[in-house]
Amino acid sequence: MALQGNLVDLPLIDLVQVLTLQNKTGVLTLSRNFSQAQVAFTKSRIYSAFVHHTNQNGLSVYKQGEEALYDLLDWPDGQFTFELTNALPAVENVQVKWDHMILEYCRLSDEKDQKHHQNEIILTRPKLVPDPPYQAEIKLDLEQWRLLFQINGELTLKEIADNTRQDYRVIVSLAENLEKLGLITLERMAQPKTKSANSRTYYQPSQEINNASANSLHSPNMARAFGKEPANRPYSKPPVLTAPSSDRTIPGHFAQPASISHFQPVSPQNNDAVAAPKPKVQRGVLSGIMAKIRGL
Amino acid sequence: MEIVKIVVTGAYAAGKTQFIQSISEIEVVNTEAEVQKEDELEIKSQTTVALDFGKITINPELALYLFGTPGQERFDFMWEILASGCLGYLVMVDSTRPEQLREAANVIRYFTEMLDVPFIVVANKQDDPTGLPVDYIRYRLNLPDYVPVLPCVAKDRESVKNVLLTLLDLIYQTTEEVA
Repeated sequence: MALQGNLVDLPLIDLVQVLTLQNKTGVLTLSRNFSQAQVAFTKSRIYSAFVHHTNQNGLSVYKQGEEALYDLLDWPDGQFTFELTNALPAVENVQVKWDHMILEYCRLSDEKDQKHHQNEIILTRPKLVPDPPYQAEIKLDLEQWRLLFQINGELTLKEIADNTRQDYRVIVSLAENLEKLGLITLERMAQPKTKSANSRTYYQPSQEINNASANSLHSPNMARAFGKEPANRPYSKPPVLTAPSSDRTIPGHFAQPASISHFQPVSPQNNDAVAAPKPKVQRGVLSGIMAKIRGL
Repeated sequence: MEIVKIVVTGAYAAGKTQFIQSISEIEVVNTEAEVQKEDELEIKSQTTVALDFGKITINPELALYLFGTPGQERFDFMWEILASGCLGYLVMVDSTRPEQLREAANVIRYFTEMLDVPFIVVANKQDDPTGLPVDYIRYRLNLPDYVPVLPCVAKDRESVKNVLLTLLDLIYQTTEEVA
């Protein structure tokens, strides 16, 4: 018997939790407006995911794997059916754990909210009220007076924060207080065009760090440190910046130069990272230290 | 006297000083200064600017020295000095601050370029319910399987001992017998 319902009643996060905890093997089919999706489960985990959107012009967008799951997490509603079956799709395309994906999804949502909030600040322009309401006495502190002097009807809160070298959060708080006192109004400017939902880019661990650094987390030195053979794959060492003076040269880092133009990136001669000589120690010494620490 | 040196590094306010304080037999020698930058001040008021130093005497001829590095990258000139001659190092990560993981990745990159000695990533503050799971930290740092990521509570001595013993064991396993 199939399990059927709507994501409004049972959100995807809960649904996946139930299916994985119950160790079900089968296929979850979802549909919403012009979108169809299929998520396969096996052995307490997600095996594959596919989403297919068709817009009103008949254009298709096809997503799979983690990208498809992030897309599904955005669905506020949609019909679903879960069928128990061992006939899974041929392609396994989900490797990441579901709980990791949920954490990533939360992080992305938080960052999106934060960016939205910052956008609002960038786009908010304070203006003096020409005829403020009569109040017997208005007490302003120094910071509020400073902000008041900056308001010329042209500058946005972000620009004022930059000009006065103050934290924009402080400026926003001051501006909100002045608005409450009826001295200024906060005018929101038109939003700039944002990317469409389909052009959203999803998190990949390698995006977290730039390409060079992601690569260098698997550097030959790291492998050697653990007695492993360095992976037989191209390794792009961060560029070594050399200075004409006696400044130190460390891969990817450089001392405060008089001018950055003095530094010329030099391609590494070979792909091997150069490390300081490994210090020697007797195993007996290490055993002694471990015994002492155990006894602490 | 023979000295064995371990470095404790990591991002800003990850718990490096606390880690050394929990295990050192001497009052930790530290170089703390008032935090000036506003964003850093939100996290803590004092920070290490040069080094933390802790010590465990094994016997009259042998001692384990623990050096803690400053967290901010603007003090990275100290990292190189402190890392010289160390047998292994610990990279502390605050599990409750996911935004710190990028910084931690930078620290790992810096140290692995400089040294080829074993290290452990230490997921600190695992007693906090908001702490990220250890395997998620590994996933975010994109670490190879052979790099251990250990849960830790830097203010708990037993937890600190467990981390140190794991690192020493790793060093033991990757050390060739010296006559």
